[in-house]
Amino acid sequence: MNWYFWKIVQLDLYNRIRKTNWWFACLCMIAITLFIFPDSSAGYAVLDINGYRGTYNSAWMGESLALVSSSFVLLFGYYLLSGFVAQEKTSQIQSLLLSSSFTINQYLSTKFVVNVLLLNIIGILMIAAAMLQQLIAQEQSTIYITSYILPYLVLILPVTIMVSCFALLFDILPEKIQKYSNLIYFFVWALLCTLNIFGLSAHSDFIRQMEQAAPSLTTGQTQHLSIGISKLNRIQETFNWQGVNYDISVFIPIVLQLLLGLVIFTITLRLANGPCHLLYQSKSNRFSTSTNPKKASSNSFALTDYLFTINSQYPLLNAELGMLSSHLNRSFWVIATCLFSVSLLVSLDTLRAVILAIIWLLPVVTVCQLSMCDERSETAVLLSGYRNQLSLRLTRVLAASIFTGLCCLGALIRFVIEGEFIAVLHLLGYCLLLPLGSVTCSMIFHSQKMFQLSFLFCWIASVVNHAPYSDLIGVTASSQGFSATWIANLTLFIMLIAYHANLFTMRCNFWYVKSKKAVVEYVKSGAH
Amino acid sequence: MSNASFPIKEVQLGIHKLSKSYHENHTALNNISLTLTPGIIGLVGSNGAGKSTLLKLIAQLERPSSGSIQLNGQDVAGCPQLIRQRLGLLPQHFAVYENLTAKQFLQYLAAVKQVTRKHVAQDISELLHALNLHEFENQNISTFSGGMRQRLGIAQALLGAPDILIFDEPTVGLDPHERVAFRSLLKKLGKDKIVLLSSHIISDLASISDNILVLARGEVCAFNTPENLLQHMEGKVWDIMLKTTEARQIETQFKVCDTQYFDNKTRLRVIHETPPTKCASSIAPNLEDAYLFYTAPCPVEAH
Ligand SMILES: Nc1ncnc2c1ncn2[C@@H]1O[C@H](COP(=O)(O)OP(=O)(O)O)[C@@H](O)[C@H]1O
Ligand SMILES: [Mg+2]
Repeated sequence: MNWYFWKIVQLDLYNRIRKTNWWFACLCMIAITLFIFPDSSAGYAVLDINGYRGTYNSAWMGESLALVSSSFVLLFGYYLLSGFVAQEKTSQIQSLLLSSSFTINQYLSTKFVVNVLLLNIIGILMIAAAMLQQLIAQEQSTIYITSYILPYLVLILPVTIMVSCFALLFDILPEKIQKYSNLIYFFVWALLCTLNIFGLSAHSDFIRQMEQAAPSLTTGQTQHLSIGISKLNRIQETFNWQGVNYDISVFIPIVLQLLLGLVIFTITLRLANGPCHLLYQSKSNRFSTSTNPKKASSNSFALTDYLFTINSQYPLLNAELGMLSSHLNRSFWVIATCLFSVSLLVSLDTLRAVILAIIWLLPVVTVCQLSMCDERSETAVLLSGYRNQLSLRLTRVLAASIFTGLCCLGALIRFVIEGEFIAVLHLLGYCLLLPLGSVTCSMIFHSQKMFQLSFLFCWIASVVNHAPYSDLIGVTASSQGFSATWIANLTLFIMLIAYHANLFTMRCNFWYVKSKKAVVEYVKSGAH
Repeated sequence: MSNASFPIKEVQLGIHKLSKSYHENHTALNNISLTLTPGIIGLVGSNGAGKSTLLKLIAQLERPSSGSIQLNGQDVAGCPQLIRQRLGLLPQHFAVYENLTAKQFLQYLAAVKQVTRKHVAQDISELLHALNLHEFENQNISTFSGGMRQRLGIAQALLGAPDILIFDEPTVGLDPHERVAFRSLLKKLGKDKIVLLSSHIISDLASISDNILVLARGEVCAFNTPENLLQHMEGKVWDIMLKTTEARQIETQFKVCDTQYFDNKTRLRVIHETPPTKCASSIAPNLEDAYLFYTAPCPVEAH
């Protein structure tokens, strides 16, 4: 049993690390590691305690790396891992595997182990990068491996285990829920981060110890450690940091996190063998998703029928609109109608702060799912046999923009009535940006995750933090947001055109073919 | 392949009143009872007849709506492992791990199927040779053509010497040479295993099947040896030479399975219990005639 298990894990791991998006994630995380430790004169600080940071010794590097990256891993890790099991379900490889004596529990266990390993490989790479950084910074260049490993074990390893469990859980849920899983996880992440402050993680304990150790500038001022990029006007001072004191209060959170992971994993196994059975449910699910929308569309809004009739001169746009509306279920229309009426009734400030924030999220979980449906299957190849891909994609963008526009219709009318033309243009920019972004992203990365993630970040930044630059819809009513939206639109549009003009792909293909030839020749020469 | 990881003993699959409906007003499989013993069983039926459904039910990939499947007299409903540990399956649609090489993929499935460790390497190289894939064994599957993938699928089904083999439309995408190779491979295997093979083309199965199971609209229309099926058709296939106008009329009244046009005459091949016209002459039946006869809209009792 053991040998089989590890063989499967080994080959599965091998399969997964050969995917490009994993390498991309590795590179990103290494880059982030390098950013965490700026030179004193870099002009920004990542970890800052009232203008101080620790000297770059193993203890400070190891612990601050763990502090910063644990919440990163909690979020990015999920987006990196999720979707694999779900994809195996739709591609039917699961039925191939599970028709043997391999049980669902064994299957999920191997996936779990592979998930944990994948994240930890990234973690180890980050540690290696940090060590390198310590050597380069030359502040205290003796490397103590344990000073790196201990905070890693305390802060990151339990998180990787927890994330792996969450990724599996969200993957086995029925498709209807899965559509929203990226969004749901975002809120789970927010919840976990909040719980971390209250002791689910040793995070706060580390921070407290660091704060106490830092020299205070003025007596009586409370020490405050801030994580996040902040601008520094003067050189950051350093103090000699001796490392965290690993007592029992540091280890309790680990137990809590492991327990949480265990609970989620158990729930996952239970669900996968019962209510969300991996084999028996998957097919009827797939079937129901392909029939239900048709039913729904037949009694959905008459408005869509109207839309089709007015543009019957453009059959492709017509077909795209029909496809979109058949994918959107009735609840979408109910929500859109509610938003429409509410937009006309509430005060202008509420419209901006609340309604726009809601509208912002609505299409992310509906219209954007659709831009992926061709990329993942072979449909794109089929279609491109008949039409040029650029016109297909642009039509899809246009069709999706019309639907997004319908969501915003109330707000648009309201702004026109109030004479806020900048707001109208901003909103229109958003209607274009959303489909354009998602189509471009799914075209280049064959995945929606990156797009959704950046969208959610912008949402948080502008709705919660009122940052004008990331305001893509107009909640902050700022001109920076307006120009950011249209600049983003323009950039994406150029990217879309450039992609089809083969500016990106030509070069990649060239190297691909070249390397392939070399491999074939090598193999041939080896055979003789 | 020569190494059995499970001791081979006589297997018998009993299928009792098996039904499957995916939604209320549509039954994919209706009350099927069969006993399957070692040998090659060819499963024919038009698209949507329920072939894949039957195979998936046997492979425990779906649960029956009613009825049961028994392996050597033991009901497998509560314990799918009974069948799974001796099963080799090629689904109609399947995916592979694109980033592994053919050999790695087979190693992966060998681990999944728990093939005895010391046999794995040898089994895999034998299979890769048998299916003509050994040249590509270290190539990523993402570079494989459709036929190569199909052969890889066949290879993984044969891993671990299973004694129930299920192939759902195995010859799709194989070129004629590969079809011949596949058939001779199956002939060797069919001696002591239950080999279930589906196709919608009866001639694909005719030469290798020990028994042919004809399915239509979810029901069994015939289950017999090819010889018996042919014998049953004796005297039911007619050759008629007619004027084109008369032929039109015959076509509306009888089951016509072939038409050839000459100058102003038409030659028809008609299936009917009695001679359709006076000038009809009886000719030797083939399995295609049998298939058309049994799957005719009002099902005829097979035995
Ligand atoms: N997952 C499914 N959900 C609903 N109906 C299905 C499903 N799979 C097959 N069917 C229906 O069952 C019938 C038999 O299908 P199938 O067994 O695949 O036929 P075939 O003989 O072509 O393999 C068809 O009418 C098909 O529509
Ligand atoms: Mg089929």
